[in-house]
Amino acid sequence: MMLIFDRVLSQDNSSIAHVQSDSLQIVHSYHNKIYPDTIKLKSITVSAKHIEETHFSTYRIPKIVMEAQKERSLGEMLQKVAPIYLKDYGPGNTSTITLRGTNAAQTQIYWNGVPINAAGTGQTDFSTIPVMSGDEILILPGLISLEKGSGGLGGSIEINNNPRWNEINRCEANIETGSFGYQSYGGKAAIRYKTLQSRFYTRFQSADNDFEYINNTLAEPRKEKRVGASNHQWLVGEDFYLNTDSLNSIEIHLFTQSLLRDIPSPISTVQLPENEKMKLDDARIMASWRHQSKNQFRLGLKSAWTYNYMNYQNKLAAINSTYTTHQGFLIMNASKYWKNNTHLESEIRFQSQVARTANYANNINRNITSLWIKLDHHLGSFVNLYAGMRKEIAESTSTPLLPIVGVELFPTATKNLAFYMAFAKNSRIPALNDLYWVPGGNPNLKPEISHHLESGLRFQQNLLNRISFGLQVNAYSSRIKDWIAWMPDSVMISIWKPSNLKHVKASGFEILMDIGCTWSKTSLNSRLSYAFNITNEETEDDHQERQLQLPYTPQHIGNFSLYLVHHSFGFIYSMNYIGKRFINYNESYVLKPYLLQDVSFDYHFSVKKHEIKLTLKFYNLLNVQWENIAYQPMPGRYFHLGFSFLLNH
Amino acid sequence: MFISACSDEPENPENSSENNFSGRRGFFIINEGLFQQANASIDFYDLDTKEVLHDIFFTANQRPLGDVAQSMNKVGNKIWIVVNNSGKIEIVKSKDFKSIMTLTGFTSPRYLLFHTNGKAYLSDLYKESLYVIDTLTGQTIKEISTGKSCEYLIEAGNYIFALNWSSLNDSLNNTVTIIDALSDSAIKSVILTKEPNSAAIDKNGNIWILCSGGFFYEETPALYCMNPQGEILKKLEFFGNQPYPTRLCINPSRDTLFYLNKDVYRMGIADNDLPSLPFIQANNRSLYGLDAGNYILLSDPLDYQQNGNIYVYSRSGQLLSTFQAGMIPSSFLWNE
Repeated sequence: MMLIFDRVLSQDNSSIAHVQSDSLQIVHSYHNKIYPDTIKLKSITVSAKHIEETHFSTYRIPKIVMEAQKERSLGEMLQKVAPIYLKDYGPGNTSTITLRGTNAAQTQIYWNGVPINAAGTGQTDFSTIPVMSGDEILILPGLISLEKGSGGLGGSIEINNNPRWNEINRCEANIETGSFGYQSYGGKAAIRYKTLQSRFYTRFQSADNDFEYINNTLAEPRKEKRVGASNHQWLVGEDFYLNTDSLNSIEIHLFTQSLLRDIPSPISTVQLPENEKMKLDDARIMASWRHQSKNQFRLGLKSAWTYNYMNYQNKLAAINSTYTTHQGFLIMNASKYWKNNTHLESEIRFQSQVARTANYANNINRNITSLWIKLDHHLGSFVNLYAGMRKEIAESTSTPLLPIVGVELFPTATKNLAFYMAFAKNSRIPALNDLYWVPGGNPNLKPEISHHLESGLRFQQNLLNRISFGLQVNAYSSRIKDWIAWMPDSVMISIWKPSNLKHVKASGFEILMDIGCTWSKTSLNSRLSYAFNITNEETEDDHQERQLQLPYTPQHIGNFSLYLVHHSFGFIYSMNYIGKRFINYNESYVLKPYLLQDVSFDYHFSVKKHEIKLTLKFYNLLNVQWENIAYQPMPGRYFHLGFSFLLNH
Repeated sequence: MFISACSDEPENPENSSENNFSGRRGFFIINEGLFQQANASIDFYDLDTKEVLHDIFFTANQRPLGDVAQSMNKVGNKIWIVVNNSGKIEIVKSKDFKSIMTLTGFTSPRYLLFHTNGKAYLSDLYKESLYVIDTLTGQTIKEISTGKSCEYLIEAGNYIFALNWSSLNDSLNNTVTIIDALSDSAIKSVILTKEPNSAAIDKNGNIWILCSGGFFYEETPALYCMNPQGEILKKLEFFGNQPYPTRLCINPSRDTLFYLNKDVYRMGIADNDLPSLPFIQANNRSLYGLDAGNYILLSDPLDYQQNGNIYVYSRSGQLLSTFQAGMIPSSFLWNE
């Protein structure tokens, strides 16, 4: 059984705030057998008093997509289903996001509400986040990211773990193998005892990535095999949920991983296999307590610790560099509902960063305090007003007050159609490397400041309890000033230094459409997304736009995916189009557009109470030669063969 | 539904018409390009028509030049282009830039020196030796051990002065290694100041070597004058707030030195003090390349993310023309 559309009745204690539609379309499929974690609800009509929260543009990755992509990284999955561009250096290698024309440090990633961007670079490597580590993935492009924290000038992405109280005890083993030495061995176990639930998962994955490509940079182009591109990843996660009583709940989440990768050279350079290596170790733990009183008052307390270790080695250049960071978080939030039409929410977050590397003059300790307050108010049945304010206090860096205001209109009584408009100001404080890296770090950097204006509509409609249709359209315009850019020093040109050089304007629109239908034992779901973006740099002197698209910012991104389930068979087709991208600021060099197509077939059958699932996936079906980063080739056609065994109890 | 778009290497929109540089008065511009972006290129500027021909290597050969063009030398009717991060040397015809040969097998080649003995000497950042190349066949004949990484090379009679600029593997980066070109062996090493980065030979046959003082300003930058035997004749120390001089070059009559130290400075070879006032002020430009041939040529790579600018000055310091070049224009070669 599966829920479609972005807003679903979630099972945590905040469910009341997430009920959007008056009726929730529930589609029967075989997934109720194979994915017993999904919610089993009868079709209901929610007409009771509830508060709707304003979300503006929020994209939820459908559960069926997450299940199909569970062995992949977050970066690999987002490329298939979201209007997002990932700068990908190759399978298993660094993958950073470009959201609404911004750079990777301008998209914030939250793991169960805890920001996990690297303290040093401010970025997140999406290849290090496995899809299987989350139960829910939300994309919050643009201004709405301010609700979770500052710094998301392009937006933010949430990875959440949620309890599944309907889930039975089970154990699952997964094996995948495929082209280019790919192997993946994983397992999951879930146990519930009364109001205590525990879920464990682990996985080991490795690949040689020795695929063939055509090297066109040579005097005589020839077919070559990628060398020095292997990767190995091992991860473990554990989630605990405890409802101590009807009003209090406790959660503990743990995640750790170790990743070792060779960094392949661009094909335009000397190929030096295994010359560059990177080792990454991540660990994070979060514990939270939530209280919900009977008078619609909620209180939450969360503490977390994250650890990142990175070692980079370059034999030839005699570099052996280590970077270690610890971050501690204490987050307190409270919210109150009044008369079913007003919701006040506040949060205070303390963040402490400790970084050690030989590239800083000293060990760095930085404390950041973030305050947030938000008010949602319903004027009658047709208008929602939204206002919020964030203030961030970071040592030695002053940030302004960051307001967000918006209005949502519901022209129909069923509220299946909504229009919204919002404005927000956001800010990103410099990352530690920007401030303290030796040589080059600039302690006088100012925070980046952005102003956003956004409007859009949402529509959803269910027909005959069989066909569902959802549509989101968002248009946005944003301006970022004091954009931090690294460039060579004007005197000592071999040293790169960051400065608040650029002013950038981004505007565009996104369309997301979902269609689902079900009949008898067949269900069909599809998602179409398209994003158009123009991102120009303004000159510093006269704020004239250069009318040139920023490098690695495609104007056009499109995705289409189709999920067909019939009896015990499943079929998935996905298509990903990325328009041309300039690789320099003069638009003189361009990476050609590409269109990738993947298909997947699966079949499941039961042995007593247990399920076995076989999967065959073909990637890059038409063997397109493509690149996300210039001279970093990507694989042509390849396949993965999977086997899953699900032990239910 | 099943449609596809193909993707090759980054394409360059320049047209593919053929160029002819024979007899044209002008200069080539080496645009380094961004590290690991393989957008190095060569431009040509015609002094008579004021025409700029961009990316002439791509135009002639329909493929990118490579990753970080480091230096360029003209020998007879051939031009040798050292492409550092691609680990190769492209040899092209000087008249039209059509590729003749690509020499590979180097790790991080930097500078070439064509000696009158008919051999070419090549420095490599990651080698503690110099390659000796047969200019006719392109074959590496031998390697001369220098004990440390070498950078810029200059010829002084039968000697080759190899500047030891890099501190890679903790090697000394404050020396010049003198090589006997007759025996192809290193004969001695002279201690100077950290990071000797460029050199010029004057009309008296003396060698001038500019040292920037080190990556972290460890030492006071200095300009040395040596005789061909490697004896230091003069040492002039820089002053002011964190000077970082680079790009030493000399005019065609070999009596006036020029260098960059944020601004452009010039001094006579008989002067006993460094100039205190600039010859050409940078004026908010990030001057990166300098040549003091028939005209004073300067390059400004702007923010190193976009095409840079070239400034052509008269020998008296009057700005004659300005035009745009490729990514990170760094050095020049006169079409003589």
